[in-house]
Amino acid sequence: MLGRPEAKAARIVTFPQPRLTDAELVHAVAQGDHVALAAVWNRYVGDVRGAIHSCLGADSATDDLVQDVFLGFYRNATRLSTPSALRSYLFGIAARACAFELRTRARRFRWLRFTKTGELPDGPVAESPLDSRDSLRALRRVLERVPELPRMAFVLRYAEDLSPQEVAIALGISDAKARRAITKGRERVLALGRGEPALMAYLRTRSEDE
Amino acid sequence: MTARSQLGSEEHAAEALGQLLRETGKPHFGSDADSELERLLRAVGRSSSERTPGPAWRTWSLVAAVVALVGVLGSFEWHRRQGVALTFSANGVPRHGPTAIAADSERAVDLEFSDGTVFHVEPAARLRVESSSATGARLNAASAPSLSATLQQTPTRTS
Repeated sequence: MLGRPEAKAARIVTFPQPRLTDAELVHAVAQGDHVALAAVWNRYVGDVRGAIHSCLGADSATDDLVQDVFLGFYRNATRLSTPSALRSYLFGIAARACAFELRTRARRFRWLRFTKTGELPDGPVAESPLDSRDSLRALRRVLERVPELPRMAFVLRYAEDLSPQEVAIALGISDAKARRAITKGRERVLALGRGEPALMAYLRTRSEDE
Repeated sequence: MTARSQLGSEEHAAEALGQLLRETGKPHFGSDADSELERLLRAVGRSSSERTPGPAWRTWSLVAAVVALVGVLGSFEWHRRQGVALTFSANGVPRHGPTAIAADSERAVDLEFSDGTVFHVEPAARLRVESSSATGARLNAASAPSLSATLQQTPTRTS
């Protein structure tokens, strides 16, 4: 047992992270160990923020969604069937949290629109060249038009660099279904992306490069 | 372009788009990372009672439910058997109601009741089953010079 300090910052003890594997951390969190939870946070908060950023872009809800991801992990740590796949599992929670956020916004903005088209301007994007920001905006428009499961599979596979097996674990589906979702997501994104001039540079085929 | 090379170029394009998502405008904490961790731990402290029970707890719940179900079914079966009148057979042949059992001069008869009690009727002896109910059977062994029985825990009541 790793100890159960109060949830106060002053009492958070530095955790010997390198000595513990993901599975050991998950087991400790399942026992209610807050120090282990802090260690998981320190190990993966950057990845989780990155995954949420990949889904939503710079967004004011990111901090709250990160909280939701780790809180969801804490509450369900006892149910993880593959504790060693903690990273994939956290990515999966993040992807579902983003999908839920997007669905909620779509419903909300159906009634309440701040702009003529209903699209909101992007938040501040740190140090990106202007053409990259245009491309990113175009890619987000494309992703919004891709169904939820293929979209999550695409982001996890190509933005977060998860293997198909890890995508399956993250989304709680079979390997075969994950592969189909990745393929469908890729095909949809590329098909829709061909209608976006800002993405043309990214869609050039390898043969054209050569 | 072959299917393989097309798939390769699609992978290449998808990876480029993934890189665009991943690397353009790297996220940074809106607030201090430590204060976000503190916020998480405060939330965890409040929600400890809402945690999903673990597999061990669920396993024991399942075992308890199965035991309870078996107990209820066993109880029903026991009560059902208690309410059924004893049946009996002579040398394996089922008999009903008041019955006279007469053993041959050379051959004994085994009178077996459904509760497991067996009466061994000696050759040339006679025995009458007057009645049988859920609580026992009434036998008349006036013409049986010797009668041996193998009794169960709740033996057939005889007179």
